Amino acid sequence: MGHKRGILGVRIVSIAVLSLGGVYLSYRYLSSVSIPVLEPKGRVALEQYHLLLFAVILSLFVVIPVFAMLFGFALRYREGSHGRYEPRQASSTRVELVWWGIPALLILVLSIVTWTSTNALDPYRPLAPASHTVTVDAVSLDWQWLFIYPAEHIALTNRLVIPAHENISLHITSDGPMNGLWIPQLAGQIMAMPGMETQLNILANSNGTFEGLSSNISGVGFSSMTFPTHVVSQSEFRSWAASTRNRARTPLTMPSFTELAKPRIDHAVQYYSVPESKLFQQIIMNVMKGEGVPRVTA
Amino acid sequence: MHLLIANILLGRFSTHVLPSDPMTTIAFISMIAILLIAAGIVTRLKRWNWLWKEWITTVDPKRIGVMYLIVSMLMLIRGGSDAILIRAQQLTGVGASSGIMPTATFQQIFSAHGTIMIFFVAMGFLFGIVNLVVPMQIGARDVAFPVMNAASFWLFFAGMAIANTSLGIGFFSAAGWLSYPPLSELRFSPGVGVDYWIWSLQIAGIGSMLSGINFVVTILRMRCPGMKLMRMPMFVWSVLCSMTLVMFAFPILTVTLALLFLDRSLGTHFFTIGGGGNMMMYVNLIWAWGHPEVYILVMPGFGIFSEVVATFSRKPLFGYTSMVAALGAITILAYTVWVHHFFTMGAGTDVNAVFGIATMIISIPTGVKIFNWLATMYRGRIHFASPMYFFMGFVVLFTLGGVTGVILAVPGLDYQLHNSLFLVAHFHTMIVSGVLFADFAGLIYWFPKIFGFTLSEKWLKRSFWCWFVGFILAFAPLYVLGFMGVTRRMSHYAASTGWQPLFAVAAAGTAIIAVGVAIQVGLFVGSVRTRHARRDLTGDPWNGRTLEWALPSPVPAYTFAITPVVHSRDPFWEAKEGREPDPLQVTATHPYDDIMLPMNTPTGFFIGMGGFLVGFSMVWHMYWLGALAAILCIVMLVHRTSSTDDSEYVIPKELLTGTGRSAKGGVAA
Ligand code: HEM
Ligand SMILES: [Cu+2]
Repeated sequence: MGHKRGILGVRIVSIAVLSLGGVYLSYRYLSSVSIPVLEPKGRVALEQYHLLLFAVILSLFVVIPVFAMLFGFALRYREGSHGRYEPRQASSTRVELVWWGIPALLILVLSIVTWTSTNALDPYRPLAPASHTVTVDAVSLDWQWLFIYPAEHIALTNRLVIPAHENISLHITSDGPMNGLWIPQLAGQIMAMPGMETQLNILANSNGTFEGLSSNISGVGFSSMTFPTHVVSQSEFRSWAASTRNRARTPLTMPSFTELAKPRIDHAVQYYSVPESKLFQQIIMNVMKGEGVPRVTA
Repeated sequence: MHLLIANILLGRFSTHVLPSDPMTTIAFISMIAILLIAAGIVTRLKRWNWLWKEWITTVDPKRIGVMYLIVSMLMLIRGGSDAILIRAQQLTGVGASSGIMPTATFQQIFSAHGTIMIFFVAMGFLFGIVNLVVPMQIGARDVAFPVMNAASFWLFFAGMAIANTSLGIGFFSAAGWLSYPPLSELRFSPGVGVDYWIWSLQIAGIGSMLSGINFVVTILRMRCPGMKLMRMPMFVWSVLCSMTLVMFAFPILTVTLALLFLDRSLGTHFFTIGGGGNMMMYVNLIWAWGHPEVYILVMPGFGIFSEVVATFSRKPLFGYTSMVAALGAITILAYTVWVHHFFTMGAGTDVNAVFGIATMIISIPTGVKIFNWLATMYRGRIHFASPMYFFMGFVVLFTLGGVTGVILAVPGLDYQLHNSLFLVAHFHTMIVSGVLFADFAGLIYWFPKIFGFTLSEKWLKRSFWCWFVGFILAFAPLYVLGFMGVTRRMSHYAASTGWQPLFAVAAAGTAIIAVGVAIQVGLFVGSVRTRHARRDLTGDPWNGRTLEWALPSPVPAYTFAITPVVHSRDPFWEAKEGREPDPLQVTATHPYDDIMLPMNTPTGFFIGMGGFLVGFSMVWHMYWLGALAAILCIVMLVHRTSSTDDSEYVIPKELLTGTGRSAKGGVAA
């Protein structure tokens, strides 16, 4: 018996040492990297973060009792312990009502929160009045992103530049398979689907560069569909737009778009002027008519 | 002219079909080598005849169950190897390095991993255990349609074979395990990959649908005297609910796959945007099958744990009626939540909120089940055999996985977590604990009943610890990576992201799981070799409660020497306690009778092989061969149903004397 105890002691000590070491290493590691979803820099992402905390705390009301009962009962009623044994106990309406009731109550609370938060976090809902809104049309190509600023008459690939504290109204489509547009630190993702338009509103709270990506597989080049999102001040944005308009040599029209949309895996940032403000609608219409860019994946 | 004929005869089949990259070549060669070695062993032992007579043509659900289990175990190794390769790629595809394999191969591997794990591991274990256990638990000798049951297995086998053939002849889908259009349409996925995926699932899926019908009828019509619905073991209830879902969900899959194939082969436009089709239709249809599918897999898992926890706590299952109600609620609600898989595809807020709330409502009956299991342990005498280890691991993981599921069900949060590794971690937590752990527990639990000896408890517990610790190491990092904005199916990332250490931990966890699988295989071999010392002579190694434990181990071909009669939910337990007569007792009023059993027939095997031929030829557009094979299958069916005279054999009652039990409990003379 004493020998067995000794082994148990060694085991407990080594498990404790291992887990403490693990906790320490995790802590060191996690404080050295960026965790975008937990470090929100946009209004929507911030609300999502609060919602996440709420859901986690609410779920502790289930997790803690379950774990306590699981391990408590396992210890108390294991063979050889002195817990009471009632071999014929099989049901109790009162007790069962409790555990139909308590989860139901928790879910009721969460349902109300779900209903209100789904409306509050509706990606289609503008976050500022129209006067403070910049519209960007986003098109996923094989395998890069095209961002068109119809009001500014410019377009660029694989980089998004937006002003802080203004509502960015993204209109999203795809000229290839489905992709997902996701900038975790600013807001959740929305799918980019061919022949269809989806929308996402973003409002960045602070300047900086935030990673964007495609969250849906679209072929061999999909992992490289990342794009930095530069959030700049409003005045910086206006002057950037103006200078881009002046510098951009190539106009983005249907023919040059067709050229651009050919499958390629690269990260070149290219600037275009956009003479035709209905380009985005044209792209969608072409896909719907089956005249999208024909291609073959590798 | 020659070309035209060759085209008609061979479709797209040409010499360019052999694998091009070294990884798949090696995999294919080793697969062929294993098959050849197996064939060599069978020849050496002169067992071909035995294999044909006793196994391939069998219609005995016990043997069919064993064959399901063997295939599933092999596929667990195949799917597990895929998992290791995925892990290796995501560990090495950093910065300047593009990783150990080309992206195109990587995408085929995760598509194959998901497909194989769901259809040929999880479904295979499920049908295996259902075949082994359900007839015994309801006091039946057989299933309702024994030949159809064999056909189901061989169709499952054919689907498996089609998926694996793609390793060597052509290539597999690279569009993920659910192959969403437009990526899976011809324009973006030319070649045979997606077609392999379609036909693998199509053929296996038809087998599953037939099994669903078979077991619903078996459970409803073939229970022994006294076994009212509310006296059925909980596992049988869970299978009844699961198979009901199969019956209604799998036709959706069949139709969806057929439409996708029409799009790809005949140029229809069900899902292609260009011709007026809509990909959203596919996404809705596939999840109208896909969400019920996850409950099809997990409900029998619940059933297994219900048996395990009651037996090892030495108490009746707590809250039987609640448990049945919970299963019923889950069965119905399973059809009402499919939209939660695509909150991010632009549905309106009301739609998203309604489906989010519907999803959360399912967690109520699921929670009730967990509390009832805990209450079963309460004031029990818990014997911690290895199935209880898996049960404990299951409750821990499933509760945490359930929490992450509720988080994903809030649309506002799903926008942040959808398609991330958080999602991947969530569904693995649910599936590995609720399906794999349950299947392992069930296998260990019923193993002595089928094979007549027990497995090594020491090594079983070691394998559990590998699975449990390995799982946490392999998937906890994925939750964190999800918060870091890492998307699923990613083949390459920048070094500056700092993600690599977490992928390294995940890879280490996967390696530990692999050790667990190796232990499982090893302990099985070891236990077979020491089986004489591990004989289960009592037929009741765990002090069981339900009917099957009243049978001798291993169970004879006819299962029950006499038709059992039950009076309660735990008839064998009650009999052992002396409160009820032995359900298998032979008395003057309840004597032996002749037993009629279905005769072995190769019909099921031939239908399966026909199914393989249909699938394979459709993949390669050899339509004439596909049509021919389909017609042959139908002819075989018609022939079988029209010649019933010689399909059964009789075991005369005289031969049975001495196999049942006398009133005193010993074996009757
Ligand atoms: C046994 C240990 C397992 C490991 C280590 C493992 C690992 C993985 C990994 C690394 C991925 C890819 C994640 C990504 O997209 O980046 C994956 C995907 C997947 N796994 Fe597993 N897995 C395991 C078991 C299972 C089981 C048992 C099932 C189901 C029964 C399963 C079903 C899936 C599915 C459906 C996918 C999605 C495939 C896709 O993206 O199309 N896995 N798994
Ligand atoms: Cu679902």
